[in-house]
Amino acid sequence: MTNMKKYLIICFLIFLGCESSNDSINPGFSTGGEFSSDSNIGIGGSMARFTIVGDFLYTVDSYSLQSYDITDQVNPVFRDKVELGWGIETIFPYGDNLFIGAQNGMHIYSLETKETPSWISTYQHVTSCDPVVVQGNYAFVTLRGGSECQGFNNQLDIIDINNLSNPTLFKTYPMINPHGLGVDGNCLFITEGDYGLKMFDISNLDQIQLIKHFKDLSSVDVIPFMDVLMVIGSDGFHQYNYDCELGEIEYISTIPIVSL
Amino acid sequence: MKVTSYIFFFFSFFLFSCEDTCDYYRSYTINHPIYSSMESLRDSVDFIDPIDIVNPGKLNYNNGYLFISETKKGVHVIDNRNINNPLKIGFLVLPGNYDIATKGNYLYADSYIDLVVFDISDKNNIKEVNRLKNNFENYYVNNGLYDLEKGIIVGYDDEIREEIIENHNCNLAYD
Repeated sequence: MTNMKKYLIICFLIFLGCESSNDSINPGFSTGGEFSSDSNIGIGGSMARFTIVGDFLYTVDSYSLQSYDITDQVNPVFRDKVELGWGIETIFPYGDNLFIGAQNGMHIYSLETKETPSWISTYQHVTSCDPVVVQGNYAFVTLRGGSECQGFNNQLDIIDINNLSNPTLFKTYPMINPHGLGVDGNCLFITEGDYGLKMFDISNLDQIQLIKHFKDLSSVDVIPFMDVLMVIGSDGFHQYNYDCELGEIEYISTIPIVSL
Repeated sequence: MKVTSYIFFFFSFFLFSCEDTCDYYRSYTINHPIYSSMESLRDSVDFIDPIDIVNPGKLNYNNGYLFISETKKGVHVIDNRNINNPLKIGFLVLPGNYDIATKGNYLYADSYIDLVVFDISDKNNIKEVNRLKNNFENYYVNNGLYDLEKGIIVGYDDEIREEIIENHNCNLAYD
């Protein structure tokens, strides 16, 4: 508890510290992202290792990607296998690219040839667990340290991907124990494991603002969709209504988890 | 002053007395892998009444319905058209499942080394419609989780063994 307070104070101080730099970049987000282009395709969380883009299903394991043509949906046809390196954890489609979270960084692959995604670049970071989501010209990556993830960093990295072949660190914000994350317009949601769920206003990426911190809500992954936030954690599946314009979030419902 | 020196001298004999050897118990756990054939795992696919969510993994939301994977066991199917009152419809028994994706009326999921396709058009009666066998075999073989003869490791039996180590040199930290 005291640890959490300490971190919050640190977060708060960092926000204060940046107050003077108001001449920051307007990210100019496009809303919805890849998801809204095909309402048939289900939305996954940031921890997903299966994803569908158009008529292709992509699966990743710890070191490789497989592509399947699902034009005939009942009969997926294996197309190709691409070696990705090591420590592959998550896959997130955005635009014509795949963003792949790995323990040593974030890989960007082009879907120009859909059956064989091709490597564009890698943003390298310290070894950690790190899902990634993307919106507009920025990728949001959480780094989590600890025994299963190696490393000691717990932070949010905002990565400038204006130039896909040269992703660069835009800014780092400290976190406590970040797991999955989700972004929708000016809202960024970060699950902090046993340390709760955070909602940020990211209209100014130079100075993202913590709007709400549900400290008692254990959370590991989220899906923000059409103003409804779906949260999964060790105590249940929870839903919230959120409004990014007003910076509001309110509880709706829960399906509890039964601990054995 | 002299008295305390004698006392220290006296006690120093005790410090030397256990130097040579000592006996101790050592206990350790052995994990015996439990194997299951892919055939029986493939046969166990079923769609049953809702069960408790215990160890949730991935989420997938598709047009008012929510799929939550139950790590290694299957997929919870939830009617979330009324977000005020999400209802568990049923549970898709799918051993070795970690990941899911959906498009339209189809759910794609892994089941250990297989990629399995389900028809989800009727949420009360989800059915397996196709299976690409062994497509994830490499990963399971490379990680020692799949033996071509014995099958898939589906769990472990823990056996705790104790043994006594006699006349062990106490000065060595490890055996």
